[in-house]
Amino acid sequence: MGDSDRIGRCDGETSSTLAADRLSRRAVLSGVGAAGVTGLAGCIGGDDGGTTGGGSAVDSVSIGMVTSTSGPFAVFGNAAITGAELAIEDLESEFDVDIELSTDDSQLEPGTALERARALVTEGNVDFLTGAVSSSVALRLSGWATDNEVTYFPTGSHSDALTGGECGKYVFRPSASNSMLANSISDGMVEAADEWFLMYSDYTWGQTASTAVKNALEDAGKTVVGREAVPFPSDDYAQYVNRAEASGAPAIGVLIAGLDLRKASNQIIASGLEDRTLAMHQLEDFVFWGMDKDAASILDVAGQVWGPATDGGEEFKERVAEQGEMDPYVRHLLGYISVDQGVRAALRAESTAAPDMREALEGHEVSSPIVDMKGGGEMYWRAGDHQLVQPTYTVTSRPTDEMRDDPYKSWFSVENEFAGDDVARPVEDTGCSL
Amino acid sequence: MSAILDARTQAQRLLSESSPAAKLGGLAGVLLLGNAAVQEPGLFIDQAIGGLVYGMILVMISLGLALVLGLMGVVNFAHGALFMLGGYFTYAAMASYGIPFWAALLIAPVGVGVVGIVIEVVVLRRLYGKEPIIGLLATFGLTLMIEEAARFVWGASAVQPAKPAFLTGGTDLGVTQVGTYRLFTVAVATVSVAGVYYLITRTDFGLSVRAGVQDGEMTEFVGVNLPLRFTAMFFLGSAIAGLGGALRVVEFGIDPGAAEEFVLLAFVVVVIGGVGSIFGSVVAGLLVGWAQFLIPVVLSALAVITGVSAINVQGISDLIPFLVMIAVLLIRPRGLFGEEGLLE
Repeated sequence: MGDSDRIGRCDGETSSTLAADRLSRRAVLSGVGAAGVTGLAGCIGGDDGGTTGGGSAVDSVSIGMVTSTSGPFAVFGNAAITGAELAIEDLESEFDVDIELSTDDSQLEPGTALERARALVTEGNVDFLTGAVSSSVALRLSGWATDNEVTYFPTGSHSDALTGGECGKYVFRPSASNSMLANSISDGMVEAADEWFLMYSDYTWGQTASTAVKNALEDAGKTVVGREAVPFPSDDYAQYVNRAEASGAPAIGVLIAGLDLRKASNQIIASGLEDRTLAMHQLEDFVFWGMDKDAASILDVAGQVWGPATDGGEEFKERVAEQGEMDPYVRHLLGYISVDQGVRAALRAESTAAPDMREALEGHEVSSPIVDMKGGGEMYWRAGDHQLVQPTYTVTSRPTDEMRDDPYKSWFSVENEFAGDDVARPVEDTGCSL
Repeated sequence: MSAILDARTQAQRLLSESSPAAKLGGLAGVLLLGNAAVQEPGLFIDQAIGGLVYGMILVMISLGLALVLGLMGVVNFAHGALFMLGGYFTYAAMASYGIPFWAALLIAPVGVGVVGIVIEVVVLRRLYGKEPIIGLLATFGLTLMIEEAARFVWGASAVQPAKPAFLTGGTDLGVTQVGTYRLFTVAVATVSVAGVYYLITRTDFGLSVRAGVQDGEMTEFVGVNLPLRFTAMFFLGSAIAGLGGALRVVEFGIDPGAAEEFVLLAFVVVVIGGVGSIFGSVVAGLLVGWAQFLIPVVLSALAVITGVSAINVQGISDLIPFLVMIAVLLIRPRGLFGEEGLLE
């Protein structure tokens, strides 16, 4: 019996006994938020935010998205929201379902994000959660979602911990992990140079990225001559670039998050280091669009989850571009995937209860339009760690005269495509024990 | 020349007033720097120059605050918001109206200065002579209002106009290469500091303002229009904050969070230098810049000779300004060149 069934069977039964014995924590939370303590003593739930349980079809879904809409990650959060809205358009036209999206700003603070996610669930009665750009935020929401039986898609977080030591029963990562991206670029980095200096943003994402890239290089017999943790966000990268220069390494791995990557790249150029091999394990095209093309052409090798140069999803890219706010890049797709996969799982499960959605997602072979958008490669939800196994890519800068601006910007070209199974860690190595 | 003599006098006074413990600490610092310079000479030179450049950028950011706080006694928390507005005005001028960089660099500070005049006349003028906390709270409220207004007009995402082509890339200084735009910022900061110093110490205007701060009643009694002069000073302080923002937006872009991000750093610099001393703010800016760039090198060199790798703390850089401030205040509560008795 799914949790929606349990919620639907309130029938005027009173009491905390019911809550304790038969309701999930999520339902209790929702009841507390919606009705307060007195409501809990009366009847909890009902239609659970517009869905119907008991085996009947889901006819409406309410989604909560907590992401960065201010601060240095705002461009990423806003792009994910645009992608989510496009997914809703497509799903509503494909299925007889009403979808509502409620968004709130995480302000890049895990505590704030949690408070707002909790409000969306308990007061807004959303059926599942998506969102987060920062890994720190995603990890906090993940822990809470797991404890409270709320399905959560951490839209834009790459930290290995999310599908590793801190994986959650109801947490499903739609993006590629840091290790997937590191394994994607490792061949290119290994071929490019024997010695590397790594600069990384000093928080969860950067720390795990640095470890993943270091391991990949050292496994291939290469040397990491130095690693430098950079506070994030930072208003000045000169001292770290100086350290990279002093290391004498012919190649620099720039594992810097968000728009700070633009600052770091500008200071690398200003310091005259653009002749060294430059690698970035996670390229987001938008970051480079704020630079001039000469500056953007310095990149030698980068890993990517998706981008405008990826083969596939032309219609999606054009729809994003037509919106006029931003040209298409990976965050649009990640917002789209989160909503697409969440709603489809609810429809398959005929329930929005977290255990039912979990059952519908684990091991599921994806066949929605996102497969075409990612170039047609195999995509599935791995049961052992809830990672969406999917193709990844390596890209390099195009010569400036080949950088395209119309109908949307496309400044990089895909060098290689990797099957998700070839770059994802084996489940037994992740530390996740689902 | 006289400015250099003033600086030498103040430095000598600082040395003569330092306790033996402070002198011993200074000596230890010199030895640690020497160790770092011997172990990693190339990196040490790069970081010393980088710290100088960054220090001058900090001076540029904090100069307006030093002026308003030091001379007028106003704890202007809205300084960061004015800095941010300078960035946004420059962006609007260049990106929305196609105004050239040089003109924007003039228009934006003047625009921010006008905002400063409005703040001074409408809000601060009523608060002179009252508890500093009232001014602090009023300007904090103004900061929130300006931030939200900027968010409403320009959005939450960072904006950045295009950098002029001749200021892109790097300039080879022989021993190291530094971004051309950063050198330009240093030049503007140097001219601004010199101009403000001259205005305050060598003109009748500066003299009358300083006299007004010491004894407003007597100054007005001899015919000086003090409110007008205070308004002009606030215009100048605001315009310099705006100039800092204008320089910043072209290099790194700006978002509404910049208001609070930089006001803290500016306060740190002013407090280290000593409230009331523009010279102190210049020294403090350079000190913080050098500390941020050189302390990590010192720590890594120390880790090498002691064999204790834990000494080489990663990611410590952002903490350094605050650590320097704590150290200075513990030894000398009035700051390096602050007025005697203040905060003591």
